[in-house]
Amino acid sequence: MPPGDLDTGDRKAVARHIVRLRYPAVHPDTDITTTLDEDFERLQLVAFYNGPVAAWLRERGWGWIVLTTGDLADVDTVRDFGTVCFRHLAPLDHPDVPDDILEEGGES
Amino acid sequence: MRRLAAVLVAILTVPVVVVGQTGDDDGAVAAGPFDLRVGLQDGALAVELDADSALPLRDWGGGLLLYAAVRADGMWTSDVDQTPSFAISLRPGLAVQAIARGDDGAPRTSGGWLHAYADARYRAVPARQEGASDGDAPAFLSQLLVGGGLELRAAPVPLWLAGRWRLASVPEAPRLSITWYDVAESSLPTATLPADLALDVWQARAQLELPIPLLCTEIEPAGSAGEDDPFGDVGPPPRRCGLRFYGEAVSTFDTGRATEWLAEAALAWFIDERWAPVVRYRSGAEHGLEYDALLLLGLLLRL
Repeated sequence: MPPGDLDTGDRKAVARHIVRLRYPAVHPDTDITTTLDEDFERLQLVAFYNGPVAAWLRERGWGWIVLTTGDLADVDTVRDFGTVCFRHLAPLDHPDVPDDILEEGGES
Repeated sequence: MRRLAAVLVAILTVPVVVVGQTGDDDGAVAAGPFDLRVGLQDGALAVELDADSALPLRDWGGGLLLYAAVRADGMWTSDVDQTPSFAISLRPGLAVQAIARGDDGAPRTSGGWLHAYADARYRAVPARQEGASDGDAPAFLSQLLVGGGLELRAAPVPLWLAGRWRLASVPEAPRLSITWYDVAESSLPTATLPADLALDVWQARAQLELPIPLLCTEIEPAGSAGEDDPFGDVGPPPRRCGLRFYGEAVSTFDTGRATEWLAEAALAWFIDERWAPVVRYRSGAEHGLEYDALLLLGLLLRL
């Protein structure tokens, strides 16, 4: 899945794929609000996508705009969540900062 | 996943066959951080408002998340023998979700699996002391409760059901929990209080919501939600199955009393997502309160 210039078709395919990492085999128009109606459930979803999913995307050259619980406010269906995922996919403009630089601290 | 509990208590009860006492049924609503319940409780009008919120404290990755939650709730009832009750709860919690890797190396999860929490709860309630006569006004009781619990949610089950039966909504995940509470401080001596207000108990609870895939109807196809919708038009729309079963079993036990059991089962037929006639059966005891076998025909309302 090349990042390229974020071809819309590819981007939608990636969005569908990552939606299925959390909601496998559920119809796009199925209501998923029971899985998101408690705060800690929204926190868990955000942690999953900003953590393991974002890392997996990075390995494939895709970027991920950090998701917040506020982004889920209007999510009722799998399709709504797919739209959120589509909007949070982004090109990787910069390579990852090497770990040894991160470990050096905040001196500038 | 609050809706299952809401359904089980969200009954504006119209008793047709009632044996024993009516317990504490009320109506429920869930919207944002607030839950509003309006209903009948022992023949009186009861209004209850809950609010809760959670903040992430630490994300260790790998599905391990530490968060802090706060919960506040208050209740008012029209019963002249009761006064407004108030409670506030602070719950640091730990949420663990199982994350697996597929053949493509992508992480997969079906949501919350394990939810552990400590709880410090203050409540101010009217309380009838042991030995008081029926004519005595209830005393005012303020208590600090401490405790904690562990809840396991079988999150993949409802997703599997929703996919297999092409359901229009994902049911609540089956849940199994165990919670302990004790009284840390009390304005009245606990020896003078009924057992349900002098807590030092463990409580195990199992809950289940099961849609029944009979007489289902297809919902209106939503189609594409816009140019950013990655799914576009897909095949036949999902189906709304109005017939649902709800079950709950509660066991309360401590070292000083015999184990109590309370079992509930309900069958609801949702005419739409807001209204449903309900047949409900309950039997057993909880916190020292005996429930005789109780069969209710009621109307469930979700505002």
